[in-house]
Amino acid sequence: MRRALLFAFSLLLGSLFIGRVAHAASPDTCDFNEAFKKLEAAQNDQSLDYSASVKAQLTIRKDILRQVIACNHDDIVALRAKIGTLQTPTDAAQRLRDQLLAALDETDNYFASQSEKIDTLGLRGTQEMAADLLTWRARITDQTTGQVNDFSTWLTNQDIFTTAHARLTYISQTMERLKLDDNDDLSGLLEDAKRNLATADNDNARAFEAMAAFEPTETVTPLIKDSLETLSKTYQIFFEISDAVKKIIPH
Amino acid sequence: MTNLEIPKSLKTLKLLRADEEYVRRSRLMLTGGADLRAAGRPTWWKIMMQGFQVAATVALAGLLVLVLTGSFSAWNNLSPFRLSSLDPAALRAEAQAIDLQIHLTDVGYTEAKTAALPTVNVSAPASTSSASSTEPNPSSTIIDPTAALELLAK
Repeated sequence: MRRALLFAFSLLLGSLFIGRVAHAASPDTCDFNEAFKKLEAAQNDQSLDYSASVKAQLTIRKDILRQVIACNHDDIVALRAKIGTLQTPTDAAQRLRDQLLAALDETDNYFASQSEKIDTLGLRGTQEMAADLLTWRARITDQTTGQVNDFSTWLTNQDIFTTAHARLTYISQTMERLKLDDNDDLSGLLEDAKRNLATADNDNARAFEAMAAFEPTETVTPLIKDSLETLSKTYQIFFEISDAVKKIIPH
Repeated sequence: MTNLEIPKSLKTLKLLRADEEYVRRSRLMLTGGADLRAAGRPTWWKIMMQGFQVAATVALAGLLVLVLTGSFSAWNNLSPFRLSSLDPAALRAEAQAIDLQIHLTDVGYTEAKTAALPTVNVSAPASTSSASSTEPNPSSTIIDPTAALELLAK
């Protein structure tokens, strides 16, 4: 049992790291420093006449727009992957995931549709398209990314909560089997653990409700963090129970 | 019968034996004949059970030897800390997973807040021409897609 638990948690820790690293994909696509160096060089190139300068700048600006669209697509693919493979514990969670994926698809499709228009743009057109894409991009960076991150964290937490509940059940059964439930100190600790877990459950449920209402990440993330911190306190009590039982039953 | 005939008769009685068939039938009647008949014949089940008994005996004897020689500590393996959910190693693994998740939540939140901020200072255009209105400072800042769009939109 011990080995199985350790193995399961190794897998969980591994998946957490992989999930985080996955978002850091394709750094080159999303680095615009080189492109703007070129644009600056074209703007300052005294050897070009006005028409050639405008033409050179237009080409670079179009390339930047195409790169923004490619980068946006990569970001959306990474965000989709973050929540697309995790198990949803309830129908409501499944619905929320579908809504978030639909929001990502909508942005991706819009950017793809704009991509087809780039060839026809003039300088003013590239300015206007940039402003338009900026509005859509803000939707992804400011809202959807935060929502997807929160939802991904929350989904991962559900396995941790399930494990904590199982742990509490096993501890209760063990204390009963060892006839330790009559011990006032131990039963007091067990009650504390149950209370803490119930509080953590409550915070966890509130976090989901906030996500389902599309509240900002500034509201949701603290709730998720509170639920985890209360869960962490519950485990501190489990350790206290373990220590107390050790003193009663030498091993 | 004379006194001389009595010892002779006793010697004869000593040689008397019950009929073998009668003995067998009486025994079957007393002990439940069919079972007794079957008990005499080897069956697969009987052979298997005998094999199992031998194996169990050997296994128990082996276990006893291990316990006596100290190679196997029954307490270590059957201790409540191993069997139950109070094993500190398992508790620690689960608690660490929670702490890690708290840390990742913090990191994710900070990343999201950072991503929402522009990563380049978009300065006023140096030229009056709309075509040359971008003045990034690429050598000292990182230009992400949002900043790139902000610069192009100027």
